[in-house]
Amino acid sequence: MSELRVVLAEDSYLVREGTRQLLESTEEVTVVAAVGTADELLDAVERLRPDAVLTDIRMPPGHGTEGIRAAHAIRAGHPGVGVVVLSQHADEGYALELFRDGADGLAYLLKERIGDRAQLVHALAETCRGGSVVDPVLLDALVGRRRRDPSSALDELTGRELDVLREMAQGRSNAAIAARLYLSESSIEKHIGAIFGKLRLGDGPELHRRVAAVVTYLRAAGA
Amino acid sequence: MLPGAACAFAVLLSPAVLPDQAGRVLTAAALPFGFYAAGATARALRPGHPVADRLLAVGVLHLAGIAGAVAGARLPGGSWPAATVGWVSAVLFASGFVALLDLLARYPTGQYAWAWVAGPVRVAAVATAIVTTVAVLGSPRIVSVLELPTGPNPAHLAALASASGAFLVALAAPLLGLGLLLARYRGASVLDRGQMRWPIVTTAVLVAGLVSTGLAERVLGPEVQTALFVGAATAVPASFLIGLLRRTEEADRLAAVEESRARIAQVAVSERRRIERDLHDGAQQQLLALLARVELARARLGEGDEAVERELGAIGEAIGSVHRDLRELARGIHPAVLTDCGLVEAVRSALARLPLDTRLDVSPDVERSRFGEPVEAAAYFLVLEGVTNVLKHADTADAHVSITAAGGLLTVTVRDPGRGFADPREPRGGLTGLRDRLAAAGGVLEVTSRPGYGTTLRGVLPVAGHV
Repeated sequence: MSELRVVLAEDSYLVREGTRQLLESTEEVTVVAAVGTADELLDAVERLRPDAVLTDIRMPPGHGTEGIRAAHAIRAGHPGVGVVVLSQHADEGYALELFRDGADGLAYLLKERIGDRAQLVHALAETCRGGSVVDPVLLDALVGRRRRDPSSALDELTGRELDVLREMAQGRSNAAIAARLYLSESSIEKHIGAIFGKLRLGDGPELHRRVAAVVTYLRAAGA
Repeated sequence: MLPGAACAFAVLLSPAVLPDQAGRVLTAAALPFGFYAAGATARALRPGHPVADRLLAVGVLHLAGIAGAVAGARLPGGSWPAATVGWVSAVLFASGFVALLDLLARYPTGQYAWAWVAGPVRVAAVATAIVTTVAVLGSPRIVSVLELPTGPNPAHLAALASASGAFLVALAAPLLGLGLLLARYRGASVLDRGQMRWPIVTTAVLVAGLVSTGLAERVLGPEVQTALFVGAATAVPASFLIGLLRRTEEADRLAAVEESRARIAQVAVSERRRIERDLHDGAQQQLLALLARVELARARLGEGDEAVERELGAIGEAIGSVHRDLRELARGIHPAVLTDCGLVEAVRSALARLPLDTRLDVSPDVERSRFGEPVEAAAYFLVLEGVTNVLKHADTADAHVSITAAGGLLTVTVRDPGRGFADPREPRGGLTGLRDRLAAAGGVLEVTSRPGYGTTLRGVLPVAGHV
């Protein structure tokens, strides 16, 4: 696989440099630009057309949710560019805001995943392919929230199907899900078929349906 | 102001105009002089205040009535000019009582306590003019509000003779006003009540005096009655004037206190947010940079150095754990989600973190609304304190949180069906802090609890202009 061309946005110099070196050490990623603000990020994407973007959520000047706004702008202007948003916030509200208009090509990861370069690279590659990834900590909170909001289309799913959906939300392949849940791949396929059926996600390319399932999941959880 | 001054001047000339009746005129004018002086002072100190205008109006109308009576006494007895002046002065004098009614109905704020009061006041004004005219026409002699000797009434209508005593109806106006003032007093705030007490007493004395003039004169003699009347006359307008001045002063002071409290609340929230941001930009970022370096070192480590690799892995884990602790600490100081995503999202997020079976009800207009930092922070920490208390003390996993807005007020309720406690008014550490926090944002906290029947925390916060 050819190297992923990535633009990095992070306002703290130390974190930016650390992350850049870490990503480049994998030899799967080339950091084509490392910038400190959302405006510079949008500019770099415009100029360099990277495969994916790794951006902090909170940047100057507002120190709010600039990363999310930049992600929306990038996805709208350059649908082929995947965006991984790194955040210090373990609050589902931010993830829901990021996936407001759909989860395609977007990922929300907690910032401490900087300590796990394999996961960073996985998320970058996944979003570049149009997939989506959500940090497991957030997913657990979203499932907890789903229980409090009883009127959800997801109520029809069994516990096992929810497990599979949660794994799907992290962009895992059927084989990877099977391995993690100690199930056979064929039973994973059956579960996924049941999930698509219950969520009424008819026909269409498998990848799109997977993403749609994840979005439904997040929507329902956030409703 | 000017017509009043002219009338006052005319009244003061009465010893020259009517040497034998001067005492009577000046005694009758004592009360109007008092109102006129109080009104003029109030107008100067509180310009534009309706109560000041009404005080002045009572004085001017009565002085005009009295001046008219003095002038009428000098006109040829039984003539049409004398009759016309008598009628005008009677209507003006009676209207003074309606002005007094309006004053009582508007005191102390300047507005009616209830919007419907405007109707009866207007009816009283028209009715007084009509009744006075009828009484003037019914009187066989020309009417004088000072009961000065007059000639026969050229406009006398024998058919209305029985209505000649209808003047007394004008006295019902202040009585009605006193009733309205008393009714308002019942529902008034402590601040307003303080301003209303003295005027109520003096007005009651005055009304009693007006109604029982004849009786007092017979029992006490004309000199004592006159002395009492003049005393009351100075006390009534003075009590209104002082009440009015004190009221606006107290209101100004309270408004200043409210303002400074709101400022302090804003500063407190901003300060907490700054600390949160400093933690985020400082310690948390440093830890993350460290984490990246440890991971990089691990990546660069040659094969076969498993002990070092394990150690680096453990260091990375430890840094991650400290980072998580710091994140929770920052969140406790000021949750960024409150600033970035609003109250409801922050509450959802907080509830999702607790091992409680919480039901959350949010009214649709609150869902995406923003209410300003101090209010959002106070509401958020109320929910947090409430559910934490359920977790710690209530012995139940059930809790119900509701956030609603109506009529410019945001109401946040945390209810549990758990253990409850005996005396909700007894100060408790967490609740006292919460009460202060809500008060600083202009709100109030209500705690209701009973052993065996659970506990309810309810906070009400002003959010006018936001919903």
